[in-house]
Amino acid sequence: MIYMKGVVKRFGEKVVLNDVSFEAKDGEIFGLLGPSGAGKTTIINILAGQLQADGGSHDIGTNLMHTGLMLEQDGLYARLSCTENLNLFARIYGVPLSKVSQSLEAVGLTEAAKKPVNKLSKGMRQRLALARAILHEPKVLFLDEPTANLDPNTAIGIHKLIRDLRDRGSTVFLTTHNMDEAVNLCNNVALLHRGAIVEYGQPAEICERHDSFKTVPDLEAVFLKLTGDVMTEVKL
Amino acid sequence: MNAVKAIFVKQLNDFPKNMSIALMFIMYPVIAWVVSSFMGQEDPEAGNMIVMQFAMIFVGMTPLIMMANGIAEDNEYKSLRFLVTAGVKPVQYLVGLMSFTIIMSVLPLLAFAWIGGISGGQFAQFMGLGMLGVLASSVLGAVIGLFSKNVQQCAAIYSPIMMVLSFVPFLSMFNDTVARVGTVIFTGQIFYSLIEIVIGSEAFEGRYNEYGEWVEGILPMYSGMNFALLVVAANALLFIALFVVAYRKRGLRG
Ligand SMILES: Nc1ncnc2c1ncn2[C@@H]1O[C@H](COP(=O)(O)OP(=O)(O)OP(=O)(O)O)[C@@H](O)[C@H]1O
Ligand SMILES: [Mg+2]
Repeated sequence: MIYMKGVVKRFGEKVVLNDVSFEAKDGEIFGLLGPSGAGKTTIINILAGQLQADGGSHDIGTNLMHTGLMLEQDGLYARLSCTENLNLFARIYGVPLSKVSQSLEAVGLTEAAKKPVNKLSKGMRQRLALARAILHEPKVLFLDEPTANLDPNTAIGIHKLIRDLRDRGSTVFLTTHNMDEAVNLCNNVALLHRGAIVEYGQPAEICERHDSFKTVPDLEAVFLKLTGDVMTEVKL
Repeated sequence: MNAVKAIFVKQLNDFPKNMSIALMFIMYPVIAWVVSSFMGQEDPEAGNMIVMQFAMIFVGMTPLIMMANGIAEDNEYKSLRFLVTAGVKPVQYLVGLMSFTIIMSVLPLLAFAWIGGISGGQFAQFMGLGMLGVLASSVLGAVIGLFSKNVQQCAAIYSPIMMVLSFVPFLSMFNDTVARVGTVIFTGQIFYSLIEIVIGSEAFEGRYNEYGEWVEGILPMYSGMNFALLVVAANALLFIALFVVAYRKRGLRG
């Protein structure tokens, strides 16, 4: 189980997380939803041991080595090829190098395996980062906006992959500002607004609670109602 | 051990693709060879001296830049964070980087020895000094890498340090104050020792030329190979201490 209880985080004077509590059960896909600047990445950074919280408690129920990470800054070696990047981690984890081509295939990068990372498109790079995150079949996967730069078709492929991983027993903790992604993919979601959780539960249940079914469950409307803010702001 | 090997192989993969670094390993011996074969026709001694100067500059600069740059890059592009999360211990990371740097430095040193016509017992001295210097240089590079947020900052820190390391030994020929600095830095002692190896003690003590005139030595007093090894080792130890401090203070911010 992954949980946060009363977590507070400040950057200088600014309170970025204010009394954040939630739990994600083993083997589920948990979605953290919120607009830009809400504090999603900060929560992942705290859970993955990168940042120190200023208060509260949290745990991910496993050793960091059994987690997979996919972050905005992907940390890939730009001059090395896809395969070389993954080989490095396969060797570190002590998993057979044959896992590398499997992982690349899972994210649809078989053809690009020999390409250096600095020749990949943004979406391809993101998929490579995902391939690295799943290489060692981690117990917990942290995915920070896993489909942010992907075209709809690729995003669907990634969704399928994420479901497969869950079905094989991984717990997936993802952030997104894409409502459809949350509704279609996540078992449970928490809505984050300015560093506070404003709602938590199954997507359909939340929508029902707030009487927010148009034709499909509409989390966007729930968010708007609760906060007066829109989730998907127009980016210039 | 997995992690050390993994990082070593990663460095090996990266080396031919990282042209600015790889070039230094080829460029210095090649330039030394070209220059010395021109100068060597007129004056073989001057030719060999130039080769030793390039060897000294190589030892002072190349391992240092390679280590500093590598760590700064991993910091800037957040690669380190993924390594640390995967369970790579800082010491494994550093041993992986450093072992590759040191092993790669053997080839250029062999080239310098060959170009400078060093053989026999002198060859052992040359390699011993060179490798000890490479060790000092890479540890200093690691310290600089730890203190740099990014590649640009890293270059800003190492540039002046490198100027001192590579120019002071050479400039000791012209100025006694500079020479005093030269006697305590590893590149200085390496340079003097290499000159001693290729020219002999007359480079320091002076000699009579073919007209029977007294010619002053070209370098300040040299206290011998053992003292040189001591200074280089002391430099390496100092940098290791600095490294421990830097590491405690900054850590490897994965
Ligand atoms: N290192 C830092 N120093 C100061 N402020 C920070 C730092 N990191 C994040 N913040 C601030 O904390 C807040 C939350 O940032 P965070 O990156 O967690 O948001 P996010 O929900 O991930 O946004 P996005 O969707 O744009 O990625 C923002 O206001 C940001 O400016
Ligand atoms: Mg973010």
